[in-house]
Amino acid sequence: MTEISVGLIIDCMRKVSNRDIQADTDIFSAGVDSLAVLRCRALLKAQTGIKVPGHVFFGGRTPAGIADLIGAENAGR
Amino acid sequence: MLVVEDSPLYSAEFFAVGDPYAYLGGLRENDPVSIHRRADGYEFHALTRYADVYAAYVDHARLSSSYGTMIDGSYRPQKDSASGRMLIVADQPEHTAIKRPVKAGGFNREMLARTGRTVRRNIRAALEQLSVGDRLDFSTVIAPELPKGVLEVLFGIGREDAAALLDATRTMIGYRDEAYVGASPLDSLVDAQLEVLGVIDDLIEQRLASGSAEDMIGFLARCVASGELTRDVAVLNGLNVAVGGNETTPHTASLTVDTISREPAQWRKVVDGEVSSDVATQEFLRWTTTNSYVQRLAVADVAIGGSVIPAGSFVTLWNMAANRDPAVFDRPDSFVIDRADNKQLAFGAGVHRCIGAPVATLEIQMFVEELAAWDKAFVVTGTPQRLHSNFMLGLTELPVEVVKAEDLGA
Repeated sequence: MTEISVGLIIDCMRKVSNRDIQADTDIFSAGVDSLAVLRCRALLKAQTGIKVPGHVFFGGRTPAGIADLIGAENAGR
Repeated sequence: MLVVEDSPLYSAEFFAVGDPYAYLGGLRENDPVSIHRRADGYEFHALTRYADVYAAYVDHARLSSSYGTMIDGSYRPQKDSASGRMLIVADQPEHTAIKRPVKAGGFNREMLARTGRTVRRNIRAALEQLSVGDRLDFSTVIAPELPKGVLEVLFGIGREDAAALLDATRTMIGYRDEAYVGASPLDSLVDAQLEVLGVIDDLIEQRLASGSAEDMIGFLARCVASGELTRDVAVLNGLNVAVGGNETTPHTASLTVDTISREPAQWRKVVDGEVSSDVATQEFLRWTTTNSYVQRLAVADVAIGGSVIPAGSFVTLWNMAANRDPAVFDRPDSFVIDRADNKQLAFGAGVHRCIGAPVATLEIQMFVEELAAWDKAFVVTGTPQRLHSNFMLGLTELPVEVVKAEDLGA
């Protein structure tokens, strides 16, 4: 899962939410909801082939946090 | 007004192993309107009398659904993120605008007839595979057959996809129960929720491409194409219907089998045709009351049951207490299979009355009819395990043995 970068998450989040998302923006405080997460996940999957589990978005909360969690879950495997 | 600190009504454990009917009965008798607090400061008013619960349902303008219909749905009086976009958390005028297409697409007369046929076929097939002496967990082996048929018809999916969708919605609603999820309940909840949204979004994509409107999803997709609904609203309400349909009737069916096993003499009246299946179904619905309560938020002061509930308060409407109210039901704490003029409130009332109520009622009636016609019967052989939830009254395990029909209660 290492090929999902913070930058890619930011790009996808901006596309689905039309909001100015930074690496340390709490996406849920910024108004991202489950449907935006769903669309973001689809974009990430289209570009990397990887399906990120929902709890990674909700646990990570920021693009940087989400990328960290993806790395951590990957390292654990 | 009675104020209960650390109220058991918050406790999923209490509903699994305690006696919530007795507790709520006491409230209804002595403190029909009461306040329930938790250590973290959350509090709600609880309505327990039939008349008060009914009045609260009907007063949908002052008792809003937009703030989540479960305790903890929103921690603060804050609108749900799907507020105004999903039926269960929408007020007027959005509620009516969403209800029309969902009702027209999923709950019209023809869909109801098709659903009934499919459910009956599935139940019959499942029962026919069983032999005298078989031992099984009814709640996991047979009960899911009821909503599967509904999913097949409304969502236009096959039996395997229906089973997968059922697993996901089960995790969403039962996420506090270890029978359904592992060690990280919230992770399981959000993963499952996203799975359900994903499945429904994919189905809408397919229907948009094919133009087919044979099922509810196809009808909603057509509304998306015409601009009547946004795609997000269509997906959210697909989820609403899937969860509402999946996580209720299997529990009702399990509790129905448990009740039949305890009341063989009354059940005999249905088998012998002395009591019609629709009358019996109404009493099974009252007796099981699968959805224990719903929550509202008072957006203005509301006078109810002799008290004034101030604006800004969460209010819970306890269906399970209303359905045992002696002011409305004779012998309310007894199961009476031929109960006449049964005004059970299992589906709520008013504009938010369960949109799937006709389908759910039909499912249970088909189930009752197929059980009555079966040459065998289920006998409960072990202790039923109740779901750890204060919101859904159901069983996670119901050990049964298949016996000859004439041996039930013998």
